[in-house]
Amino acid sequence: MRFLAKIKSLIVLFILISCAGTVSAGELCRIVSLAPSVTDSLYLLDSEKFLAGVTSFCRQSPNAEIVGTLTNPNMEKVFSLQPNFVFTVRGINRARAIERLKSLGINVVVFKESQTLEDILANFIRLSEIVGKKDKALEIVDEVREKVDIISALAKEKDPKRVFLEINKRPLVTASAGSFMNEFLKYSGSVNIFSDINITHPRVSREEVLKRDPEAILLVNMGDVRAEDKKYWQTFKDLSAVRNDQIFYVDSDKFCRPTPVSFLNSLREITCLLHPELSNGKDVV
Amino acid sequence: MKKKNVLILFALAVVLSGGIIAAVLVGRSGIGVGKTLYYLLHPCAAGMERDILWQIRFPRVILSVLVGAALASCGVVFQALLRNPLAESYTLGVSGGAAFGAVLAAVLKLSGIYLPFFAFFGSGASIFFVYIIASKKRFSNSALILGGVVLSYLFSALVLLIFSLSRAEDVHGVLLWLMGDLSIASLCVVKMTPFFILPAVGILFMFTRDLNILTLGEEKAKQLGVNLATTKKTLFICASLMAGACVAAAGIIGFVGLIIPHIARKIFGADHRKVLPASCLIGAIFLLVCDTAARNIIYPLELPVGVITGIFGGIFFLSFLWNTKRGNLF
Repeated sequence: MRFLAKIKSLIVLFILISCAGTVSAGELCRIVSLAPSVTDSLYLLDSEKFLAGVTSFCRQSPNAEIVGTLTNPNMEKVFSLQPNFVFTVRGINRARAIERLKSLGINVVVFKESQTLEDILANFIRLSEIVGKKDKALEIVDEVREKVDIISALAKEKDPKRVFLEINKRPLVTASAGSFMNEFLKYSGSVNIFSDINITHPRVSREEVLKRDPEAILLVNMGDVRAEDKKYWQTFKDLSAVRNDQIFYVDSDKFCRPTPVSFLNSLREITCLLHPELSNGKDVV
Repeated sequence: MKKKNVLILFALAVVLSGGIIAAVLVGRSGIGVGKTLYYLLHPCAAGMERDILWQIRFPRVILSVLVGAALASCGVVFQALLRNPLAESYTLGVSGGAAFGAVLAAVLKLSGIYLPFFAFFGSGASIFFVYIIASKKRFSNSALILGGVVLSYLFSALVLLIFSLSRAEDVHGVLLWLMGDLSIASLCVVKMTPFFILPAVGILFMFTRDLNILTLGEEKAKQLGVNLATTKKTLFICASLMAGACVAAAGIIGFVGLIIPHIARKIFGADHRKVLPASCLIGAIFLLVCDTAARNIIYPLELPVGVITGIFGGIFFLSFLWNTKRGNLF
């Protein structure tokens, strides 16, 4: 009997060790994702079957339970799911919640908040290593890189457009050079009119926007920005963006959950808006 | 009215008019004084600079003057009505209601053009509830204050509830707006604000004598023939709706309603026939100066105007408290 018990415990130990490292057995891995971008990435890696818990803002999966909101995950719920991993993103999830989960002895993986395309790709590969899908991830990353290069090469042939990004209307807030939104401008061959400002999301003067005379305005529905805000800018008849009818409304939901594929799609969308001639005739990949 | 007081009021009016012109001229977007004057005299001219002046800077200056005057006169009325030197424009739950309305607009995805209306109706709802509670207690001061304060807490709890259930990006902007913002996002709001504020200020002016009597205490006011309930009701509704309109137009701007009445009383004594117009003028000048500073200090970035009113107002008021003789505060 003793011998049998020893063997049993050895088997259990073996299973535990195999789960803690990379997962190949699959079925035994249970993941709780506390960030929509990680949840989406798991779908891209065909690993959604590992999801045991997600937030209410994540893409839902049939076997994953909701464990709370982004800012307020329910500790008891997360703990009761007995996950092998909890995926969090610093800056998206609260530091206190991350610390609390760690103190419960849960294996918490903290990803860096993506500020650039490189961040997104690095996070994606790190995630793939944990779930044992690195080959698939590298395949996706290579494809995304290649297409991003093609798009930005095509866009660079055009004259760079001066763009104003509006992410909040009252008060007027923009996204400057250091922001994630600016990555799309960078790769689509455009220039942010407030690239000289060091603050990531500065509150800017309306007078200055008019003075810097953007050739295009992108309204990003993050704060209180809505599609009808176009009308406000259209009252300034002398603005280049108004004269050329270059005021666009883009949905922030795609940018707020960055994965390699969503980045590529958003970049494609923004490039087509800013350089419509690229989408006619020639394919923007 | 003493000749000296008339002169001071006249001087304040002159300072305000001068301030308005100066504020329109002051701006760091690089339009020279000569050009500014040209465009001001030729409003129908074309060009970007004309748009900057007439569609952005001038409406903003006017809005700051209106809101400053309105908040200060609300403060005067509430301090006299509640006989409490700490009362201000938002004491009776107006800001809480407005915040709730604004956040609600944000989660319903209606915050674009409807935000000011939601904020106004939020404060209207708050005023309505305070009114119902207070009317059961014959508009006693304690019922008004308690009703207002409790409703503020209730609404802020509801705001927190919505916050914890929604996406951070959706409500973050509303939070920024609530901290006070006079920059003009739509001319429609600027055009509507005077229609709320000017009549309300007019009505308050008609009650300055009653305000004087009210400060003597309710018993005496009754004996002197003031219809207490009607007067208090009218003043409360008028001042609160005006404060609601201010929040709808510019968010919550602190300090103006608290400190300006004290300054006006310091100059003019306790007579509300002088204190109210003086507060209007001083409040308008104060907010005009603060907002001009807010939009120019770190140009091309802007500071929230509440930061400036808080710092200027706080320092000014502390030194004012320091220099006031004992017992002269109210």
